[in-house]
Amino acid sequence: MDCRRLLEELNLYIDGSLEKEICEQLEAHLQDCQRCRIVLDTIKKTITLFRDQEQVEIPLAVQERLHQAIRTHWHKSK
Amino acid sequence: MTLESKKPETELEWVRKAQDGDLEAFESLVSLYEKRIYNIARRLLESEADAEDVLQEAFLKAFEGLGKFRGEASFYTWLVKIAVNACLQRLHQRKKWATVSLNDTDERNNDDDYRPREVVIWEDNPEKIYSRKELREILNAAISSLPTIYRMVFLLKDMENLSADQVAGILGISLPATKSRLIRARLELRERLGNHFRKKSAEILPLDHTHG
Repeated sequence: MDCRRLLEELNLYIDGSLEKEICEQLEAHLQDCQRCRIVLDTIKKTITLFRDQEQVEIPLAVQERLHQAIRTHWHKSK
Repeated sequence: MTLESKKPETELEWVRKAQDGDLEAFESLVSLYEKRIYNIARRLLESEADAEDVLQEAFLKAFEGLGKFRGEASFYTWLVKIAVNACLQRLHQRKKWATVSLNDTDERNNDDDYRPREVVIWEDNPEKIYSRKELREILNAAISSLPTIYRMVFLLKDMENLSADQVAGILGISLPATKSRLIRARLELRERLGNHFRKKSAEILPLDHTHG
């Protein structure tokens, strides 16, 4: 496996859904290639940083307006 | 018991009750997913006011369309699709959507897009270099600068933890297109963050594709 092929397979590898045989080839390449190791590590870190971002709370007034709109809609539909 | 801990055993039950006209059951579904839908809309539209509009529109459309929901996809995936479509409409209206739609052939689909432009080692714990607020600003700026087609895929797949199949279904694009956009989104975000997180002493390594 070369660097280009590794990049093509990277999504599946990161998501843990790469076929076993290709996975082994990819890991063998990673052992020898510092550049690809860095790319992989920093992509994983990128995903983690975004995934760990806290979701913002819905402002209370927005939440109240939403539920009010739904109730109004429900009563109209009766 | 919290709403979250009731899921997923009762989700379908709530849907069925809501389909039978039970308002309380529908409001339980709303309470379960309103925060996630609001956050998706905020991140896609970068506007609190528009996110509120989409939030209302998505749940009211879901309410109206409940009878058509057959349960082939999860209720959440179905809801996200409604919300994403509402976001897309607003992006079209704003003309921020450039000239491409989600169904367009991706003209940037060539080898260069897969190639990282530079490779630098990051600090071991980049999130500790900056305050929480600074980090949030860096991440927001990075994701905001992504073209919408990439931002959507990254947001749904990597931030919302949906599967590539689900993302393809929500966006109405093929699975290969979803995967191709995902890797480009990941690579582009990584490069943008690299400007902030690179190890001070680290050299920049050119990526040699003839290697290996």
